Amino acid sequence: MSMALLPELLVAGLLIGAVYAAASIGLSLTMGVLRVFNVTHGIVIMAAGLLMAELDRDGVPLLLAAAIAILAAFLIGMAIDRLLQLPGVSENFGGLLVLFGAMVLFESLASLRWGNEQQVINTDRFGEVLDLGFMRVFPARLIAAGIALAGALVLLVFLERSSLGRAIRAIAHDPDAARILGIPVSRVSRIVFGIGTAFAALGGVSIALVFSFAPPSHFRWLVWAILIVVLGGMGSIRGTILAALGLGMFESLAGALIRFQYLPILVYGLLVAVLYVKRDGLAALQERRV
Amino acid sequence: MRRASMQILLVLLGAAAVSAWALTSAERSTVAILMTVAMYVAMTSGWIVLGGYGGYLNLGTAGFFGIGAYVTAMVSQTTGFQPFLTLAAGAVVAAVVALLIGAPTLRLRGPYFAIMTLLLTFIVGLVTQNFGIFRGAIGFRVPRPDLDAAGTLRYTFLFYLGLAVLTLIGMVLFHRSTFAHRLRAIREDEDAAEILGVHTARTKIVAFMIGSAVAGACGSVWAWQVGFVEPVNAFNLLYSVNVLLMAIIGGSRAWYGGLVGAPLLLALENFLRTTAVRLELFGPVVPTEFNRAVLGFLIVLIAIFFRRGIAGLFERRVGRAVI
Repeated sequence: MSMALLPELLVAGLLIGAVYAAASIGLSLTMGVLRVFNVTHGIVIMAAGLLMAELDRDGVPLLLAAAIAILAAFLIGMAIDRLLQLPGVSENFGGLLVLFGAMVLFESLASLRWGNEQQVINTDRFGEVLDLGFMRVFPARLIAAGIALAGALVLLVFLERSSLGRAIRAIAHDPDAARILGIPVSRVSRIVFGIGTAFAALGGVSIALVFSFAPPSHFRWLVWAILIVVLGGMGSIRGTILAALGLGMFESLAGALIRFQYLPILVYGLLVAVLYVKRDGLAALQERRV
Repeated sequence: MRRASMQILLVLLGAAAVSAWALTSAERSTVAILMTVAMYVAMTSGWIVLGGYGGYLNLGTAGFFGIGAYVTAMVSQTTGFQPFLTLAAGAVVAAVVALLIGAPTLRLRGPYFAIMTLLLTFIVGLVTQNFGIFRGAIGFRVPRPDLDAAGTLRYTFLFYLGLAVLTLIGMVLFHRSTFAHRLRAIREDEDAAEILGVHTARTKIVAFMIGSAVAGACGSVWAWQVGFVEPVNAFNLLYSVNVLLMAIIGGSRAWYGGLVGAPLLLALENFLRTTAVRLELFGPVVPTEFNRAVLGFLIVLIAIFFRRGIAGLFERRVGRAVI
């Protein structure tokens, strides 16, 4: 790898990292606030991309198709949380059994509906490749990164400025105290789960502009999202964004050095290593759920 | 111990009856069904050790099953058909991988263990696809016993039955052991267990290794049963889903959970498949995804409504009244 390539690799890594951020902030939110490990996150990402692609083929404008996918994900997330809050469900492996079942169900339904072949969205419509002087960029990548960062910004402002956001942060901090203070915890957590899956769909939308996608790939995105959330800190949106950008750049540099196929193995190894080292960062999840 | 001896005797008598039925039956499909049941009885019983008694959710059975299959395929490339040797190798390697996954994640509580086992299946699939020594999608042709098709089927059946009988006898003895008590203590209250002197991490890791070794052994037999191993057929999430469901339906806190759950779920799957064909939902061939969708739905339903399984119906209700 020559040094002349370095700026190009870093910019490419940042653009990919932004997409990773979109794919993981929803998971960070549900894990941080509700202390529940949403294993359906990856398949929601894929399904959103596939739904958008199908609507796009049917002639629906891309922006509207993306909005429909995100709204559908929001409703599905609320429905999943409804199940999780049924009495006794969270005793059963912390609700993980319901989520695992939902993951298998969604994965199979997505395969039945869209098949298992990798799909791509036609990105020629976004115009010619841009020349930045030191590198050339596909406009679809810029748009994907833009969507991702805009979404992350909206979520940050929402959590820090709105009263609902304040309630969400209160629940993340201490659900029992939040309940005493009059916050309708179960209603707010339903909205949190909805927002979490809606952001998974937003991740799916920006992933669909950059990568190929298919139902079986959902595991890959689940691995990436979990790694990023664990690295960045559960519930910390800023930390998650930073970890995502970091992973994007790490991958971009590593990709120049090792064969592309080994990357997922490297990332899984990284996840195991992080679990060895960063035990206290995981302590948050051991607490009881609301 | 009189009761335990009775139970072991019942297992042996049952196995003798089943093998007599299978070995005299003219129908190859009967033998094939009994073979699958025996395989799942063994794997589910192994799963129950940590999953039911210890209360830790293992979603990675398929990963260990596939590891056993791959070890068998690769070892028998040089040794030829050596069923006992490859079975031992498959079980040992699966247990070692379980140690590597379990050591970091079982020291933690909560869902980390479940997540890492879920991702394991995906990652071993990737490794076998991308590293040269595993030959990627080309896979391995596995030497099979030197018998005709019906003979091979019976031979394979006897291996699975042997595994099922061994694990069931193990479960009967395990059910009464202090090891099982330690796991129950961990399930009920891990802090209290730790205070009472239970080495919680070590106990959980050993339980996980036992279940994984059984899955590896089953994968090992499966490798020469099908005669061909490649990433997609070896690391199929369906094995994890099936075992999980069988354990929960049968009752994951009883030694016979696998014995009850495996035939029930397989019968249910068979019923669903034939119904789907009869109703002509998909034409003559029902896609595997349909089966999986139903199983996923079933997991959701069970998680909500039917948490103790069949065995739960017979559980003593001690302590319920106190709460």
